[in-house]
Amino acid sequence: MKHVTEIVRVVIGPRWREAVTRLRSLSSGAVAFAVALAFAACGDGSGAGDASTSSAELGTLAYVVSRCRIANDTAFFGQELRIRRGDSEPITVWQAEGPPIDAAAPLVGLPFNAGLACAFVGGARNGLSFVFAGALQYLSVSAGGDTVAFEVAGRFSVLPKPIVAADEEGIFLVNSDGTGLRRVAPASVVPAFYLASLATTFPAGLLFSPDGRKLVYVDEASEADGEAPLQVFTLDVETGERRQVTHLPPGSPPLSAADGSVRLDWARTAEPVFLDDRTIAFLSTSGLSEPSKYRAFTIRDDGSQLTGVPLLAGAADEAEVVPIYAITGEQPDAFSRTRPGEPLNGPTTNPLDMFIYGPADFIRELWVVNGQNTLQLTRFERWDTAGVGEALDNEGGRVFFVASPDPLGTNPTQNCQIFSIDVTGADLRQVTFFDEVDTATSGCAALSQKGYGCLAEFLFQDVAADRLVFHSTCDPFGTNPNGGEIFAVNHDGSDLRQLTDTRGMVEEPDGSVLIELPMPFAYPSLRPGGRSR
Amino acid sequence: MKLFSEALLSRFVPQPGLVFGTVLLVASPSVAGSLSDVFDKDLAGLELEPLGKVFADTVASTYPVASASSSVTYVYNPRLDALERRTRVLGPIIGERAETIGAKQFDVGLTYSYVRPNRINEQDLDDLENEPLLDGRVVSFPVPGGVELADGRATNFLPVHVQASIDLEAQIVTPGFSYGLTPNWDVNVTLPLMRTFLRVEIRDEVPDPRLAQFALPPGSPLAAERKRTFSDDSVGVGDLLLRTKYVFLRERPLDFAAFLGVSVPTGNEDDFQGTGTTRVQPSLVLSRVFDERVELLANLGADINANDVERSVLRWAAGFTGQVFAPLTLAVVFLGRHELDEQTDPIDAPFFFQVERNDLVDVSVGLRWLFTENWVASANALMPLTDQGLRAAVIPTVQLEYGFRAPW
Repeated sequence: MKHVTEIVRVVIGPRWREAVTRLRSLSSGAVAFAVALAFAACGDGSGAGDASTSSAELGTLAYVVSRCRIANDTAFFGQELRIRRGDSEPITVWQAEGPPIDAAAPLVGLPFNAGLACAFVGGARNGLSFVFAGALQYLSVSAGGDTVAFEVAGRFSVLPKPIVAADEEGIFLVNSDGTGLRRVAPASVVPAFYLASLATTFPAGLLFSPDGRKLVYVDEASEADGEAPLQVFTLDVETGERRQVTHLPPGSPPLSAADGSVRLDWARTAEPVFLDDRTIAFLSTSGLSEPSKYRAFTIRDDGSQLTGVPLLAGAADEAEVVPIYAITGEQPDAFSRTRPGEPLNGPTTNPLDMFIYGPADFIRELWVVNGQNTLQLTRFERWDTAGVGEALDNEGGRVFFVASPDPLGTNPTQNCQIFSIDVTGADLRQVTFFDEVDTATSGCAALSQKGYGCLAEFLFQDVAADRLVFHSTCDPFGTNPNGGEIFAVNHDGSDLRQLTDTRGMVEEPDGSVLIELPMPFAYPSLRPGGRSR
Repeated sequence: MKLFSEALLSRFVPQPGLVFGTVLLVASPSVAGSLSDVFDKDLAGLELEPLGKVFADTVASTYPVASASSSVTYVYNPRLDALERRTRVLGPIIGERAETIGAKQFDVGLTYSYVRPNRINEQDLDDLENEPLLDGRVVSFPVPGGVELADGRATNFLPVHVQASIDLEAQIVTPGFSYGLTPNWDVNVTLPLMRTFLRVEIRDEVPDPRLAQFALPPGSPLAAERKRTFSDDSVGVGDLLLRTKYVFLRERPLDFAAFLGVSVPTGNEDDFQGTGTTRVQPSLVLSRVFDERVELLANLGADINANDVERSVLRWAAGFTGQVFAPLTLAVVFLGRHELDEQTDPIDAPFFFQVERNDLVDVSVGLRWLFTENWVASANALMPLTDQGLRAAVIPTVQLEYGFRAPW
């Protein structure tokens, strides 16, 4: 009870005394219900979205609406996949509703119960957390916007009762108009999250090639003699042919949680993405001795030309210029990297983020790699720069990323914003101007609790326009104060639009608490960002 | 090293065979390698290689190939039942007229031209400078191990500011032989001999001061400036040109002739002395003499690239020759070349210039002097009227021509 009380105090803040009084009169299974009620009371919970400010045509947006409901001692989980084409009304192409679960039932591999987890997700306004509990693991839209790919796998769920049965799992394709739903391959063995670190792989995991003819993902190799168990595979969209691309040697030993309770290893090979129709970039621990360090590689889809991409750790003491002319490459890739250090924006005061991840003792900066050239783009000395989203424009000339500094004097609250910078590190611009509180201390923390600043994350560069599609817990239109939505904005910050309409966290008339959030989502983009190395 | 021109003037003998031999004797020996090696190897990475191909095309196919039309013609006079020599209006130096040389008549000529392009797409070849940034890309030097910039960011490359001065030159000596097979049908063979020269002076500065975001900390030993010069020359033959002309209509009301040329790639492309492709050059030639003093002419044809038809060229000429006074003729001809497509592959990263499809218009102004019964001396200047492509301010040409009847 003391443990739960502590959680409630941290999470709820000033209202904790009132909540504790209520909790002491309830069973442990109802704690979560009370917590959720406390959260639900924080806002009006209208959840009604009616903000749309422009009629400019959008591409195909595919997104998951995840729900959990706490009614007395029972928790209900469900998901549906919706597709919205342009400005049309979204259609549901897949859905699953799980059986009722005792709210007090412990999660598999995590020190929470089902009800508390639901409350946490609602308080954090982070629908992406549902990948731990739900069945829809990966999601991708082809660059042309005509096909959606998604993976359903309930076996990884931390819920005591998954929301789908084993025979409902697989990799599926569906046309963007909702027709032609078909299963093309078995589900992979790799979940969309790292249980030990409570991180997700989103948006990487199952991605189209730019021509829409193939998908790339990580799966278990059938013959792993002398090779790592996880390799990069491609899947032909037309024929369903599954082809192993890499043959990497075994990597470092897996990581486990401190208490040894982890169910899943670190994925030793992860986050493959097509740089063009034939070239795949991916991360792997192959060949490295440090288990927590990944290295980037590129490879042709026929398995040839495996090349390690240098990840500059810093600067050599005695560097030399090699006077051989070269022109930097034309396939830039942006990513964020951390190094040990004390960040200027210190540990977040966001209690959820602190509780889950603890204080940040690292500095994260934005980098660009182009062939063998690497360049650090930012020097904000903060822990959250580009940690949850970066994207290159279609010409490869500018990088859009999330961060919370105030380098231009236009972000005085230090709320998480979208910025852009050119690939040489010049011409920094601020794209969004969100604010929630006078001084945001949450930065771009993944768990964006209301009152500590709101978050923008996971930027998708529209393949056909100078526009970004992203998730945010900010509420610029006053339509969803207790949740998150998917938005679109032009590169210059104009035409901000809300694309989804979920309810966030609300108290229903029957007294139950509903958490309804979008995420994950996918949008046509040549190079989806959001990866960290 | 003596220029071709000096050696030629001091040892000139007005007989074609000896002239040819003299040219060979004073020719500078070729050096090992080729001129294109300067761009391909010494300056690899700057993507200047297409400049060599463009120059070769310019020398071999654009610039002066003296007219296959003889200055002095012999026309059959049925009243006299003999060939009548016509000299009052001498033919054009560049461009063709319909009139033939006359049956069993020879015309031999020796032409010298000096080609020194100084601009490409309106950019001065003496003052080329790379773009600092092109679609997010830079010309760079690698820095293995990485370096910390002045603002604390790290990188493993530094952008370079490159300034280049390029000196291209061609001296072309062209012997040509025309023969009248019939009163209406001429043939001509031309084989240019040339010396091509390339000199490149490069000044580079790292890091590029135009990109302040790559500034190094004060006193950094990595900041540097360099100056280097590369040069080479080569002597050889150019592309063999075989031409023929057939007059099929006279004075109705114009003279109409069909003209066909074939350029055979005997020149070394790597030394910028040949195009490397076979070219077929059909054209229609129209002309008419007025009052025995002025001749108007027009040509319309094509320069067909047999290896890549899409890179063929449409050509035209229009102008006049007019008698100034008895032995002196003024020739003014406008010439056009309209490329159907770029003549070489576009440059992937055009930091200095880009290869483009060009429309080139020139004007040729010259004087022809009949100084004996059979000898004609000419001087001509070819000047550009448009700025596209690789251009010289002026291309001077001098020619000596001798006509005689075959002994058979």
